[in-house]
Amino acid sequence: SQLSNQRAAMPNIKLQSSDNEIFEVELEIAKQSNTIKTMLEDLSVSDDSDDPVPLPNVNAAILKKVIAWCTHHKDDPPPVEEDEYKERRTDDIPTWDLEFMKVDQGTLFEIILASNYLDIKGLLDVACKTVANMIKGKSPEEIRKTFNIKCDFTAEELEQVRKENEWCEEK
Amino acid sequence: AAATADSCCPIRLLISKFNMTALVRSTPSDNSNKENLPGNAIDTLDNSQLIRLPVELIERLCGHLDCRSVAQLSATCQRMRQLLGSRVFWQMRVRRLLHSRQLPGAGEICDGAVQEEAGAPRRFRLPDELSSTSSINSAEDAADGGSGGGGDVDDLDDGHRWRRRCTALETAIDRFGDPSRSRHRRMQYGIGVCIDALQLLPSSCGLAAVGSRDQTFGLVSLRGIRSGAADADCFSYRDRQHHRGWIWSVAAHEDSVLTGCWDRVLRRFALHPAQLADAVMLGSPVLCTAWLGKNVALAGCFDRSAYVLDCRDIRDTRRRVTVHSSRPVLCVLPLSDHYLLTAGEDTNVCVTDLRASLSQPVQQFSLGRSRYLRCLSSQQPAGDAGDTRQIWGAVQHGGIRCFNWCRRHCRLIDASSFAADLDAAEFVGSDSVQQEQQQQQHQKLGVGNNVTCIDSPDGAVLVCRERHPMQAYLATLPPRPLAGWPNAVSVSCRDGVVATGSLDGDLQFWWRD
Repeated sequence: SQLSNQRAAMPNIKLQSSDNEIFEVELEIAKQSNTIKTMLEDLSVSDDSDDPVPLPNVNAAILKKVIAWCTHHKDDPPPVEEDEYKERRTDDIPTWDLEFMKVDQGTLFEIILASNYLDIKGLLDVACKTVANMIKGKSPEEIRKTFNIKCDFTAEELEQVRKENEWCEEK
Repeated sequence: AAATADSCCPIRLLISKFNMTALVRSTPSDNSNKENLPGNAIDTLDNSQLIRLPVELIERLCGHLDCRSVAQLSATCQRMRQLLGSRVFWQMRVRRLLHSRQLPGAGEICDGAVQEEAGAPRRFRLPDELSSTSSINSAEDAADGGSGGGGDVDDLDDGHRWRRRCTALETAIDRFGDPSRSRHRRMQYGIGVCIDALQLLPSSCGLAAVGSRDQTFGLVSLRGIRSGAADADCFSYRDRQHHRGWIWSVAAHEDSVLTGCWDRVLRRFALHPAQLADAVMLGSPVLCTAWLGKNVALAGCFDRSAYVLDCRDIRDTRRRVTVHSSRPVLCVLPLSDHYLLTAGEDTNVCVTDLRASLSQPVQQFSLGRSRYLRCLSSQQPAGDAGDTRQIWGAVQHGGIRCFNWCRRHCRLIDASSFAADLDAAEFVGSDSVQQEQQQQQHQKLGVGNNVTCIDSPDGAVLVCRERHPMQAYLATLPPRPLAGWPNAVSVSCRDGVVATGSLDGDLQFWWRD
């Protein structure tokens, strides 16, 4: 029982990034990742084992961001599964998250991939909303420019697509 | 040492058990997996990270986008077009939308008196899915998971249609789900007088045609309404001298407005300048009017007939559709060039071919017992290549009926009973029983429950009843309640403007800037 007390006082876990950097975080914070949570539960891992959890899909820079987000949101209520209609809102990003998401596009997309892999719904939503806000109200050409998308349509297809989208201009 | 650590660590073992190929594949930094990327990724690997996201993340991202933005995104490159242009993508989006529990009004019908059936969530369909069996089958395919997108032309074509449908629904939810999100103006048209007749003209005119029981015909300027002009200054034209009875209906196109009046006269007002142009005595009160093209006026009368009048010689009243054996004709609606839909108090709904016999309908439905249509409205379902039109009818004492007019075969299909055949529990079930109970209850209370007006702007249906909030529905089967609007007896919606008329002389307008 002395041992379990000791555990309760120090519920930390080590996470290892793809580039072999080790991060020590509170267990509760790490558990916002359903992937980590499931792994720990399925294995009923004893916390005193000093083995780091390897996260081969997340590099140190991104993992640092993810941990920062999870730390700030550790007291959030667990996210509820929302359905299609409500999810469409993108104007409800909290100020802290807005600031947090002010990163270059490469980082933003890596956060999306990492939060998807780690299964952190709140972070994934906020990151997707950030990208959605970058798309909204833009023309195809403006979207291409924003995201560096190469237009690979033939002239014929381009005309067809333009025609199909004429209704987007009407209001 | 590293090798032993690997094999000893249970987490490492577990991770190797997890199927991570998909995740590894989607990591942008991992260039060794180029050829596994879906779509035309090889061409595009060196540019955008956005289009290199795995499919499920792109779909998730689109969950945060409105239809227009998704359409614009799909127009950026081949991969996006294949993913976001397919029928499956849009069909799933429509389905998820209709089954959403968070739509306003979910689980309520009419005045919220209906109980959700125990455990079973209500299911909704689009009426035009029912107009052909092939589309029913394809809808089932999609519901079962269907086949993946693919670049096949038919699929993109179909996807385009479903995209229009989805947009219409989302626009309807946005516009009618909450009246408080629109700008609003109330205007006093008359004092304590019922406004039975109301129609917005095409937006180029910026006018609403209004007829009331105090024999006033008016054209109200929407510019005046929007700019906050005094009520009296909002009239672009007001006529109080010609009508000698209640004005029951108005019908307008760009340069002419018809009024149907209890004084048995059908009048035509020109718009440029606004003045009475024609009047024809029909021998019986005129209950409903409509235009068939630009020159032919239709008028349904108390004497069981519907007149077909050519405005170039409007006094020639010989062409009379007499398919309703008894009781007044309450609604007239042109279908396509030569076909006329009429509904009468005799409970019949008839299609007449105007080139053939005017006393013999080519199609006839009886709604049975004392059920009859009080008013009709039609809409071109978004995304259909002009093949079908949806006809929405409001049944006396509350109830909505949907028909599909198939232009190619010139046939009317009763979509509501079609839906009932397909899935009885889904549509007929609670509606009819509950309405009858409500009707009995209202009769007991002496509350007027007459349906007075229906309009069906794209993707929505608006129904007015006496002394009830106007109810906005999504145009699905069964119609899905979206929100209650202020009480109204007449309504017209066009180009994003909603206008209603009240029992006591008020007009109300809603619009977006």
